[in-house]
Amino acid sequence: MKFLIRFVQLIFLLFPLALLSYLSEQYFVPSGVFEIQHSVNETSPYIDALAPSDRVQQPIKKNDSWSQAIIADPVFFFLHPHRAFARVSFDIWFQNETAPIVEFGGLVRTNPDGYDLQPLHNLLIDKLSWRRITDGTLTLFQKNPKYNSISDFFSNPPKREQVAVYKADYPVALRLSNYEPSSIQKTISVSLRGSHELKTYIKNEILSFEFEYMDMNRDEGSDSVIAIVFDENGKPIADARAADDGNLKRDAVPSEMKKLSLSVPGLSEGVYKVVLNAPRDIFFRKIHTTQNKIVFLNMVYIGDEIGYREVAELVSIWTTSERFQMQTRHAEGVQNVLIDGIEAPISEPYEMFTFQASPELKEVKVPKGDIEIFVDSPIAFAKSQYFVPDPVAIRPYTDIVNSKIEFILTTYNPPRQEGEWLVKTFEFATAPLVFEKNSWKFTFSSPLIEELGAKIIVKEINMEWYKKSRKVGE
Amino acid sequence: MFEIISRTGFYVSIVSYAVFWILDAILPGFVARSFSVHIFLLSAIVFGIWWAISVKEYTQRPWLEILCALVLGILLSVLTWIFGEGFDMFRS
Repeated sequence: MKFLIRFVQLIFLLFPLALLSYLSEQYFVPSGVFEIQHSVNETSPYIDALAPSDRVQQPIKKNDSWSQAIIADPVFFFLHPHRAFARVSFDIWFQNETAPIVEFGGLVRTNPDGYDLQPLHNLLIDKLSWRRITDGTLTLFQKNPKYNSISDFFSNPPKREQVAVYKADYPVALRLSNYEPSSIQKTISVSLRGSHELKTYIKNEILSFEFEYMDMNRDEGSDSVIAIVFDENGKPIADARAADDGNLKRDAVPSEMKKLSLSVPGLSEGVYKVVLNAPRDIFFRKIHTTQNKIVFLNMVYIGDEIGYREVAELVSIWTTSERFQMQTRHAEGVQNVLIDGIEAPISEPYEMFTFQASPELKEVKVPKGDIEIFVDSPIAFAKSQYFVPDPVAIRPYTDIVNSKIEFILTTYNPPRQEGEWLVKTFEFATAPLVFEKNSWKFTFSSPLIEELGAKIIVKEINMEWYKKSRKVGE
Repeated sequence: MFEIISRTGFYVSIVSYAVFWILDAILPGFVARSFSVHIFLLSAIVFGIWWAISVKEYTQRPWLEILCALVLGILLSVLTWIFGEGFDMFRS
């Protein structure tokens, strides 16, 4: 009897000790790797459900496994690490038969949000029966086989318009054979709000920009401006900086016109990128430059002209973009944009309007400001300034077969097949990820999913969180 | 036998509840992410009732009872005052 009592007492004492040991192992992760197996129907303190709820369907059980459909873009979830981790590895189990391109990535900057997106599934590339050559992380697809190796391809490249890239750099530098430099100063008189990126072509001339801007003080805080020049290898080579106007309040009292000058002599011939880092309070009113070729990348945010001039001026932009997404955030920004003479109504604020257009170089007339324009090709503010610095990028709506594209260069690897599911493995270093409220944010991005009525079925998001970062060569 | 077992269960539960609660306060999520600490409170109540039913001899310790009542009384007064901040206007 006494033995039985002692035995029961021992069990009682061992339970909290065993629990303490388990919790310590979970918290301190002595093995260095914390594993999470997560089915989409489960609740977990480490990973949230896919959100927002109107972009996903309810999880359903089919053949003894739970899955959840993503039906709109973007869908995101948060991870809540309980301690410091250097790397996060994902195994994503999914099915996709309809969404042309699906990407997955973590939030790496805010205001505006930016994600490090990696390819999850590219049906456009997977469906190609073109011959492929792989060298390291790069794969070259050839419509009509011409090259035996990727180094052959780089040493004797085809015409630039025949090459498309997807998640890869094209290391063949652009050279404009008929380009003549100029010393005549030109002025781009357009109000551009916040951060922008542009590319310019330099040949025996000084890279010269003078930005006239105003700090409109509509948001609280400091509003500094930085212009950074990058060479063709993506290396920063020069910069210019300007501090805040001294007014940190959100009193909407505009500063006087300020100037930021950027002058870089002695550059070799090539394409240079200028990144203008500025908060939304900064409105660039004029850009003075001697450069002949200037194009803006990905988007322009044409700002309103309140506090600058009484009557807004029509802005003309030139682009070959086949797809336009436009949005205004105020009723005053509602307007009819003309894309190659065809009306594109921005009929209400806070709605992203999408328009298709022909791939030719065309003029887009924007009657007034307060409009964000997202495009898939460069934008110039004068036809003569237009040039295409980068090869064609593969987009969800790219018609590869019926286009001029003959070669595709990519780092994309298709997911592996596990029964009826596809599985893709990703790894992210946590250092670049935004860590807010003890959380990392990850997203599934598939821009055309809603328009195409497509679905991505997600079954599991399994993870391994590593305490140590990856060593070189590992 | 039941008295010893229930007493052990009660003490283990109450000490575990305090220890794990403090650990979770020091390292937020240490316990709560994997286990509900209140399970120990529940087991303390169950073992406590069982112990009270099965106890054969009971020794009165008036000073201990007064001390417990005093400490808990002060603690609950402070907590009531803190949680009642929303009714501040009625305190004058």
